[in-house]
Amino acid sequence: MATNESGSVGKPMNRVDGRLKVTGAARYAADWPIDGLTYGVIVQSTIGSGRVASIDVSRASKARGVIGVLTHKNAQKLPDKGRAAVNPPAGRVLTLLQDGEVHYNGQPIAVVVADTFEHATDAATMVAVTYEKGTLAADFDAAFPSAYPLPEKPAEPGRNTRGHYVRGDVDAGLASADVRIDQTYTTPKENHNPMEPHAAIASWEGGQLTVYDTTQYVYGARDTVAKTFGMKPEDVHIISPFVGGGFGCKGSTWSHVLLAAMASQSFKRPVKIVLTRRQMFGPVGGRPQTHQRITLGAKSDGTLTAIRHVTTSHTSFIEDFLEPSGIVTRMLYAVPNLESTHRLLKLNVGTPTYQRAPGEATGTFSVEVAMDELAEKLHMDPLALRLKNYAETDPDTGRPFSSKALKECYRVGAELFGWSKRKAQAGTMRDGKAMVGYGLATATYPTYRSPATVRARMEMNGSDVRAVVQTASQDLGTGTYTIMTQIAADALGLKPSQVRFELGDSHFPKSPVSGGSMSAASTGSAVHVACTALRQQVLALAANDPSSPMHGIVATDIGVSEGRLITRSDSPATETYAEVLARQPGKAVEATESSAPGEETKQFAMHAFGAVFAEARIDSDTRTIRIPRLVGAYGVGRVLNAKLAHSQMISGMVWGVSQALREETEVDPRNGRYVNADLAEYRVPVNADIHDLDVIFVDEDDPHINPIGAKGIGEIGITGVAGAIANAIYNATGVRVRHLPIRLDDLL
Amino acid sequence: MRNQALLFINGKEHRVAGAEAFDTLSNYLRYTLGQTGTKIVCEEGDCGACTVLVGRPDSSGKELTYRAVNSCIQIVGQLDGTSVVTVEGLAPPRELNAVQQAMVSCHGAQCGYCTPGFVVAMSALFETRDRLSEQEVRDGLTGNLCRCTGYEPIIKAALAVDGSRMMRARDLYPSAPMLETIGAHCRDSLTIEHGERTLSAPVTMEQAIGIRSERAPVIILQGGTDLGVQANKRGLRPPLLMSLNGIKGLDEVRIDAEMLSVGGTATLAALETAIRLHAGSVFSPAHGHLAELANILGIFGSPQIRNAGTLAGNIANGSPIADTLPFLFVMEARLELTGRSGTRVVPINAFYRGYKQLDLEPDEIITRILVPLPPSGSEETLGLYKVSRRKDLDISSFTAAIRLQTTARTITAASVALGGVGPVVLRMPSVEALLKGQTITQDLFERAGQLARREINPISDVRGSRDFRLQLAENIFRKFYYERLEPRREMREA
Ligand SMILES: Cc1cc2nc3c(=O)[nH]c(=O)nc-3n(C[C@H](O)[C@H](O)[C@H](O)COP(=O)(O)OP(=O)(O)OC[C@H]3O[C@@H](n4cnc5c(N)ncnc54)[C@H](O)[C@@H]3O)c2cc1C
Ligand code: FES
Ligand code: FES
Repeated sequence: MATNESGSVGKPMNRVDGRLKVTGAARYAADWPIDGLTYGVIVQSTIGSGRVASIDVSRASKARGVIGVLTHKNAQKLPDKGRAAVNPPAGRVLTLLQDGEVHYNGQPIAVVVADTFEHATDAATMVAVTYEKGTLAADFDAAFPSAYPLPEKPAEPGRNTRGHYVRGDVDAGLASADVRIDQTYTTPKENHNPMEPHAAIASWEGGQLTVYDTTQYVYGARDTVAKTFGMKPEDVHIISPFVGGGFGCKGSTWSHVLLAAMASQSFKRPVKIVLTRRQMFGPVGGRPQTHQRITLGAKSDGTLTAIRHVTTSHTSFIEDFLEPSGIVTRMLYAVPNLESTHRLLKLNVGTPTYQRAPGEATGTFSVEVAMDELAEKLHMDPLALRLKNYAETDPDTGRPFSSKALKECYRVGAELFGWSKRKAQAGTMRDGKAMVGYGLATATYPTYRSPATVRARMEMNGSDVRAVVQTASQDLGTGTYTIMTQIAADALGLKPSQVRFELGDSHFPKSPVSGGSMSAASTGSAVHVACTALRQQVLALAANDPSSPMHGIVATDIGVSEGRLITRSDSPATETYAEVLARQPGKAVEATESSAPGEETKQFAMHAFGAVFAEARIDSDTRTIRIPRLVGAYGVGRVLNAKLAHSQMISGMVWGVSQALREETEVDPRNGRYVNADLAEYRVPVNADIHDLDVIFVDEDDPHINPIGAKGIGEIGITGVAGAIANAIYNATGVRVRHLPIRLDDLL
Repeated sequence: MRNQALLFINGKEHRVAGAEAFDTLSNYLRYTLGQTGTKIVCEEGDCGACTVLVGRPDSSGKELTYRAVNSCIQIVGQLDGTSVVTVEGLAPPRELNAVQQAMVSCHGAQCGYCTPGFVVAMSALFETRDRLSEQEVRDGLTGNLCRCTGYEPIIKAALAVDGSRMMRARDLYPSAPMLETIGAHCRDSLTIEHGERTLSAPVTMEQAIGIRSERAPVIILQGGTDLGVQANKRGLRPPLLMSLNGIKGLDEVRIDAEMLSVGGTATLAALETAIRLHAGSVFSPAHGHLAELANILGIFGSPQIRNAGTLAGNIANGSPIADTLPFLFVMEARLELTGRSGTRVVPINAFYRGYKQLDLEPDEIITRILVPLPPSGSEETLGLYKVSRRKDLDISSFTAAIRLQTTARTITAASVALGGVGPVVLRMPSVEALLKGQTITQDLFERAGQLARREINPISDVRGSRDFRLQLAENIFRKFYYERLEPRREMREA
């Protein structure tokens, strides 16, 4: 990748959007001032299963300020009963008032629209509903016998499918083992709980619809809305310049967005719907509960002979969604015999969805605790066991890794953490009244990339030039604005302050979903090629222009630094972009380019890896658990912005701590109600939970992975952490907890 | 009589009557004024995204003192006579205050949705200080949740702030003219009516008792940290509300050699400050007890909650896990209740008759909480405990207070109160009897723990299982022994 000396990539540049955010001026979906705006409030079902028998809106309709009430009785009929757009991740099976069926407690069953938010809220309490109750399945354990294998197209022989995968002969492998572990690990339902609630403002003008949304996938939202209404995608305009956190739940377009558009169409006014915190439990997905049975076999020297990993996770009665916990097992260790299968069971809950590192976050917990159990049984150091089974090539596909610095991660992490001071015998490290333990786990996340297109324009800005670079990507707080500004500045030879990068608008060229940690690789690569093309165009203009001092110099011999063109030879010829542009008609040059992954994806296995080390301290009287120290060493390819990368990793690790000790969405098995649907009882971490977090990036030069050489960093940080913590708690107390979250009560 | 609440928002005067007086401040800011910098995230006081500064006259009455509160659980009418500063008003247009600058350069904002709340809460910390230690920063920001950053860059930002270059609310918005307007306007009591709802703010106790006796039930709305949550969570809309904030002097906190005396509208923050400023002998048992209370107040909710919430509210709310109750129980606190027929004083140990059932007549107001302090020279030990799943900003699973009076190593009197193990906070007479007259030994406290465990009958709920609570009741005595009584005391764990 071309960089110049003044390059900003790799440097810890400040966020370009920082100022807007600290002053409250950044506009999120719910913040747009719209003329004639009205307010929609969603009425939710209060039973978990059955159908609406009657819904009486007469009182609500007459309440002060009410404009209208939309229910399944009067809502517009949508093509294919509202399912025309189903195409995950963006398009999900939604509940859009097309019938009276109720599949979970909290499902949208009506929308009340009024002139003020208070009036709509008041009137929403006046909608009177009766139900015919159906049979309820809200208890995971009770529903366990009903689990079914993932319905998927039959696997091609020898091919890896999401649901079912086998290599070698697991039974034979287990039979040949000296030591076996056979345990069940469980992880709870979770909810993303980004700080920003989901929100949408929908406004029709003729046949054109504008939606101010908060989405991880601008084009996905556009296409979902368009198909649901049977419109042309160009007639839907999605605007989403700021997203107040997503973590997966904003990757799909959920019911409230379409309901806002339906209400707006019906009542002929712009309608805003903002979900309450409570409404974010159910209607917008969450991480499914998993039950993972893991069987490991090993020789007495630690060599793994077989792994069987059977995952059962829940989905809804509306749609199948899988948490693929077993996929990570397929590539983590060099084991010849492996079976990884998935099953689903249906519950009367909202459809679950992708949540930060879907599959890896839950799978690295179970496998890495099982490995810890195996190490103990073998009287082996847990780190030595992992090195013994280190995979030099991808055991899943047999391909070489495009790069893999995991050994170095183990080494550097262990050294910084002081792993060698760990006592193998659980419950033997003490510091005063605190029981102390050390644990470790492996972290990993695949590197994805999707096609992206970017439009880059260079134009005069007063006497200087400015590049305006646009693509319909998203910034969830991950720093897309900043990183793309840096990549564009470097490719063009401009200062970052001369670049304006714009995203979050479906009128810009297409970028992929901000999911799978691929925004930097996908959109970044496209920004790089588009800006390189733009630079070449401008340089060619100079080289071909007799009035330019650069006339006749081959464009490739011209370098640019801070907007000034200089030759790479000894020639003193020089001028600036501004001087070149000033001579152009229109005074602007534009390039639109796409970038997509190529053959490299078939030649290499591409993953980021890391090693996580945790210290746990447990108060021997109150069993209060503290994690005073967490060290993560990661190989993620090229680090594009040191500050941003560091904060992404810390963020992920904190999610891991929280997954280990805090988060659980509780559903009442008697009625399917979300019990802890608020931030008081759904515990996200507070600042006192977080102590010393150390992140180290080991050098990793990956020439194959993509043009910018970077692996995704949004998700790997959460992986492995819960496993490392569970292992540390065991080492401290001798109590092996095989479920999450681990609570004080578990350690009595 | 007035029917308009008066408040300043970013220096601009607002008079609010009718429906809008019953709106939450956060909705008023966002929907009515279109100031969308203040974010609404949880609407229950849990996250701090809606934090604003509220300035009230200080004790001299000449300056406004600004404190951070959650605007989502305060209604506009309740803020009569205050000056509110939002994220938009922290600096003049196009400028940043020192906190905002530090948040930019330390990457304190990722998605940015928590950021306005953090910026305001952090600015509040620098209203009176130039530099803060890391612990002060962490404590000061416990009321703000961030889902993105893992807090590290935010803490770093606060540590990087140079407070001497800080634009402060009290400098940006001169107090004198505002206080003049407030003084003139808020001299009379306030009554705002909207539909079937009424909010009154009397300026004398007589008026207050009059209002409370006239129509029933008049609900006292003080900090709103319980009532505001119930309003948002359960749609609770009591028709008759009364705020006591207009009554001068009712917020007084006084500490002398014999007594801690807390007025009926004193906030938990004011109590904490008074304890910190109290210049008693460091070696007196009273000092030790107050310091122990300050520790518990330090982990009560969050700064935003303590800045609004009152001690009287904590008592009147009557929750069995209210954090201040075990202390008040073992200290034999007394409540001064004022009503139509005058004033009576009831011991807190007799105040609760069952789950949320109080010895409080509909016309009565808690006007003062009196806590007798031990005489200097007496030998006393007090331990207060709060166990919760998350370290901060969490509702307790279990609370406890153990108080011993001793001569040499003999216990002359013992008081034990446990919370979260029954419908009300419980005194443990049998355990107290077991301890009394005995010499302090580890074995004695092991037995006390076992007895406590047998005496209680806790339930399982989302905050903890029955078994867990039983075990805690037992262990807390061991912990007390080790931390407070063991001859060679070990360092307490942070
Ligand atoms: C996020 C959050 C965290 C919290 N954390 C804690 C915690 O850690 N520990 C804890 O114990 N509590 C906690 N609480 C609960 C609450 O903050 C306290 O109970 C607080 O003390 C209530 O005081 P208030 O002034 O806000 O009460 P309000 O909500 O105004 O009133 C509460 C009740 O008291 C009555 N009342 C108020 N003043 C009087 C009076 N003078 N005379 C008679 N009745 C009166 C009211 O009518 C009402 O019934 C928390 C609340 C929130 C929202
Ligand atoms: S919105 Fe969370 S505290 Fe107000
Ligand atoms: S920056 Fe996203 S919640 Fe704090």
